[in-house]
Amino acid sequence: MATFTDRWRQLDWDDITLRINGKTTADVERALGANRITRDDLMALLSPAASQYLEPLARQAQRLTRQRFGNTVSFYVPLYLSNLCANDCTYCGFSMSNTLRRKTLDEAEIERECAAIRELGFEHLLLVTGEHQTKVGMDYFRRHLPAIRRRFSSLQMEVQPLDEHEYAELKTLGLDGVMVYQETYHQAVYAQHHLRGHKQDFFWRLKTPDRLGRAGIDKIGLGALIGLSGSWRTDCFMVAEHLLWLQQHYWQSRYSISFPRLRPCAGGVEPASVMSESQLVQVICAFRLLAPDVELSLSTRESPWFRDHMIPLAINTVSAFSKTQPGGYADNHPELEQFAPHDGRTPQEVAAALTRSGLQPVWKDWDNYLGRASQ
Amino acid sequence: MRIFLNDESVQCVDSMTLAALLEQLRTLKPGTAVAVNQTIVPREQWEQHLLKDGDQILLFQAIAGG
Amino acid sequence: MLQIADKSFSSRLFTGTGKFSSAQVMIEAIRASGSQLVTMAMKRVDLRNHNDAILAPLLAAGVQLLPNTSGAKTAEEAIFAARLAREALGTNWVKLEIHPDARYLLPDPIETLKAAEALVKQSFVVLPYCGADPVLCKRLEEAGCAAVMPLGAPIGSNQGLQTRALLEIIIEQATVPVVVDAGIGAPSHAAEALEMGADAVLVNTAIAVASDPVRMAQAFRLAVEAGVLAARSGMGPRHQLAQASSPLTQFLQFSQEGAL
Repeated sequence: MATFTDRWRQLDWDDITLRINGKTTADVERALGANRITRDDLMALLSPAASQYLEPLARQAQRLTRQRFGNTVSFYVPLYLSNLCANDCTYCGFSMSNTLRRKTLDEAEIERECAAIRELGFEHLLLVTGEHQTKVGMDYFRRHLPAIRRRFSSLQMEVQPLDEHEYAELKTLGLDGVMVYQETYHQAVYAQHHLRGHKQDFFWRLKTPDRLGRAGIDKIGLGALIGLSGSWRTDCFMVAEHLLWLQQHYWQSRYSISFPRLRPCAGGVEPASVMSESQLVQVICAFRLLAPDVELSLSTRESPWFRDHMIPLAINTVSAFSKTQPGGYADNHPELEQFAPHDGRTPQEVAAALTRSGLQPVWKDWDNYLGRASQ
Repeated sequence: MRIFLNDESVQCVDSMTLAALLEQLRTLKPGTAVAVNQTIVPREQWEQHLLKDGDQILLFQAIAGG
Repeated sequence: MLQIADKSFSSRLFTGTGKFSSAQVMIEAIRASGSQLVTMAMKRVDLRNHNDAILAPLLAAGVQLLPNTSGAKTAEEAIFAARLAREALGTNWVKLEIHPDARYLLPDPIETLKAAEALVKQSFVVLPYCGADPVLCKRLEEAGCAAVMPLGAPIGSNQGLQTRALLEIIIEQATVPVVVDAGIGAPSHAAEALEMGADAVLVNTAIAVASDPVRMAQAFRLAVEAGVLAARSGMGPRHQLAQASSPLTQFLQFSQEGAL
């Protein structure tokens, strides 16, 4: 059965990098004038030359976003169930070899977290775990998903890649979406940053969205860890190729793109290529032009100031007040964090800021009785 | 015996094969297909296929058309 | 080269054989068009007047025969017609065409999908004529059709790409070739379809009923070539870049992050 791997093998990283960097202002203008942009147009919009066209790019992106999503922005929140992990990844606080107090929430703790999150007003939940197949695997998910499901109107997961039949089973338990970020589409760079554990398997991870599509999962989230490879432009282009493939082959699923930036930080891994805030605007807007109907997400990794300006341009789903540690909502312990959120504002503060920009926060976008297999 | 060819009644001898009938009518052209009593009979079986009294034979040909 | 199932075509103009004034004109027009895939119908033999022999010259021309199931009103009839055609012509290629609507000859989506699924299972290479319905086209693709053939406008109407907005979506989403069939009335319509990204067009009426069908066939040949070239040469921007009145990106001047 064909998977994105077949397409990935046709893509030459160095050739794409050269082509993107070689795009001219004429190429950018053509892309901005097109009705439907091609892969070539996307390269132009991701190129250095496009940085001079940020304003028209942003205008188009905003127009397309309003057309498709109106003046709404959806709110979600991550719930970290566990920071146990069997992988060693250079960039992540949960790495197996990091000495960090490991915590996996039990039923009572999960219930406390859910209650605290409901208090904050959220209806859309993203469950996050490290990647530990034996201790936090299907048994754990089977046991806890039903109770969580009953509390929220939409449920997504960001956990270790699973088998197709496991996703199919989770769908019957009420799973609406899965986020799985390839981190980088450059195989050699990937190997340098994933040193131990099952996450070393580049192709297993790469084929995960295909398994999600075949399992009939409604929403599939993609993304690259921007800055992990030496050319974030190429990695972003690869995300787009991945999206286009999946849209062609699993037309009944919808898609979501995130843009996590690896920032320079003391003691952490240095980005091989640094993306500025201006370049982040450029990339997000380019994706909006490529795929006007796809969900674009901006997390609390970015600053309040940046989020307040960027969200009204082309973003249609955001998290707020994220605690990236298990148990963080009922009982905050920053030392257990996966990464330190830059925007620590409460959901209400974020919602108020966006309301001032003319956006309507949407807390609940779905309802339990609509097409759920488990009730 | 009597058979029906494209809804027209035709008299023919009792142990007639399909091939013989078509040859008699000079309709053994390329691009033709035959169905006997709603079932298509492949060309290679025309020599063996014996017709029975009352058989409804439909003869089709590829013609010009959209 | 356009690849459909196991065959390659250098011409993206497919033609039909109907409505010509004579078999002779038809053959000449097809030759002038450069078409390598030609549709035809299966009908009952007229035992009194033998129909014009079109098969021999077409076979001599080396074109791929694409028998259609025109006349069928249901999936069952279409399947029967397809099997007859396979038997008669020795090809498993079939154009699925089911139009119970006698006025506009619009294709029945439900019968078409049913027939497509059955015929694919019986190892036919199925090219379904269908409405310009993007979801239906994805379903036909999933059923295993070798291409999809959405209509530009009702058969014989010569009105061009009335369904262009939907054709664009179909072309964008398809993983099999898209052949725009029906409604193409002028060479410019054909060029437009190819410029839009369609893989091929099927033209019958516009050529057959022109005063000079052979010359019209030539015109279509050139138009299709023009459309293909245009699609590959990257057309220029369609509209001016608007001037910003209240800059959306001015805020970046105040970024707190260090300069690169």
